[in-house]
Amino acid sequence: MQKFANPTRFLRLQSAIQPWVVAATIVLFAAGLYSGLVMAPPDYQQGETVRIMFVHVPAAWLALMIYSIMALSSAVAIVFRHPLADLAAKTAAPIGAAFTFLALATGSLWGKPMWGAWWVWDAGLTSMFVLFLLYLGYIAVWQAIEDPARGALIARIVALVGFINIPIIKFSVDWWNSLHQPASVFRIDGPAIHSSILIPLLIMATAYTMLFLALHLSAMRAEINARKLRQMELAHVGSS
Amino acid sequence: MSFAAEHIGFVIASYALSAIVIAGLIAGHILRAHQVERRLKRLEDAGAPRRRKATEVPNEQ
Amino acid sequence: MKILAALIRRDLTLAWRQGGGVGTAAGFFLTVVVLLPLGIGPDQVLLQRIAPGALWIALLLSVLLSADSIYQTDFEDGSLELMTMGPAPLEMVVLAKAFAHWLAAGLPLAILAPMLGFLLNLAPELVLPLTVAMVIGSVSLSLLASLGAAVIVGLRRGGVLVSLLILPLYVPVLIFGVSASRGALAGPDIFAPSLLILLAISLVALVSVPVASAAAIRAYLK
Repeated sequence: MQKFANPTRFLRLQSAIQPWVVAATIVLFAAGLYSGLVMAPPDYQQGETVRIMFVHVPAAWLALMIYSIMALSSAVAIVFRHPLADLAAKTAAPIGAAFTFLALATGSLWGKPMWGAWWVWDAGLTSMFVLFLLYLGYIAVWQAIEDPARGALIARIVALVGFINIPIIKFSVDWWNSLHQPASVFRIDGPAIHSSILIPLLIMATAYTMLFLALHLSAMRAEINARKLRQMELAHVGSS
Repeated sequence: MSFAAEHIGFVIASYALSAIVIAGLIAGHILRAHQVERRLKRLEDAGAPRRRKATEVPNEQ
Repeated sequence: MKILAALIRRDLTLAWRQGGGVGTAAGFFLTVVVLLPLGIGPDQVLLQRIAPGALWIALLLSVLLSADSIYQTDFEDGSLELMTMGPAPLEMVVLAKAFAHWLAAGLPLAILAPMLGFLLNLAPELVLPLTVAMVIGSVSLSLLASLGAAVIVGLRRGGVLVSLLILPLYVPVLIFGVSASRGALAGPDIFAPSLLILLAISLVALVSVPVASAAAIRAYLK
């Protein structure tokens, strides 16, 4: 990992793999959309609305995965003081927030035909909503603190505390739901997942992951260059 | 997929919304990358030397 | 230890004299408890059902909104910086200040809330479970609120940020707190686990909040 502490090395790596990541993203989305919208049969219970799963579940999985990456990067920043670690967390956050928003919106659009309500406080949607707040809080920390060095220190704490909170939230909302809805609640992925549904889902999940990778690498490149830019601007002004 | 099925509007809305948000993400990132590249190039043309030694990125914006 | 006792006494005296943080908490609490029935309507059955949850929310918001004063004045007059360099470890200072806030705001409201429950037609048999749950839960609430205060110390517009950061942490406390508050009505296999989990959250907060808060304060004073 120390090899990539050098930003120039990271930039070289990034420009080498970026085209491949982008290509993989496009191919996977094409395959995912085709298998999800054309090949997969409609569900005998939900009809065509089951196809919403192919954009909802990957978004939700990515929302959780990206926050985990942010927490991991923050931990690496604290323990190893890796200079790119804070940057990795900072650039990942807006992408994660966007996916969380999509998870919430598509979850709502899936819920309305299924349960008749635009919103229900079930474990899944409630946890996603809290996760959205966690993302917004993290982004707000970077915006609110003017000194980037201090912002980084606070952001690390916020990311880690939030990460520990996620399973606690999930557990407590599950508990609360079990108390207030003793009748069987419709699980968002139905009784069992058939392979004709599972395969498009996995393809789309991989597509979303590749998309995140492409965006994240691009964002890190831009931030590293922006810092270089600032240093050059300062030197240029100083010498002229 | 049958476009006449009931609730098809929800499916279309979900996919459309996802496409719009993803397109927005991609556009935002491309714009940001171009903005930085453009300013870097302008600064280089103005004669500011690129740092010869690749040093660690200090923790500053 | 004597230093910490002095610190607690100092904070309590300031809270009493200024009335700022504590007064805000009490005022906010009363506002919620009085306005809620007026807003929802006099349906006594409905009020009784929502009473535990409403009282918990009033408690939670009162503690949260009165907490940003914990570090603000000390930061402004420089005594916070002195505290980081003093003989007592910063983590202990954090604990002392959070404890003072709890004594001044969290604990009194936790005891007061069930007594005001009659305004929301709280079932009489819930008063004791509610008190127990609130006293235990208010420890977490005060600690977490002080963590929020530590994160925003020195920021000009930190208020919204505190809510955004701390409310997700309050959700489990609220859920288990209300669950425990339903006490006898809920049945023994809900009351005891909820209470124990509430206690566990308070204990975890007792250990982790000072560490996180001290790290946040040091970040500002670097």
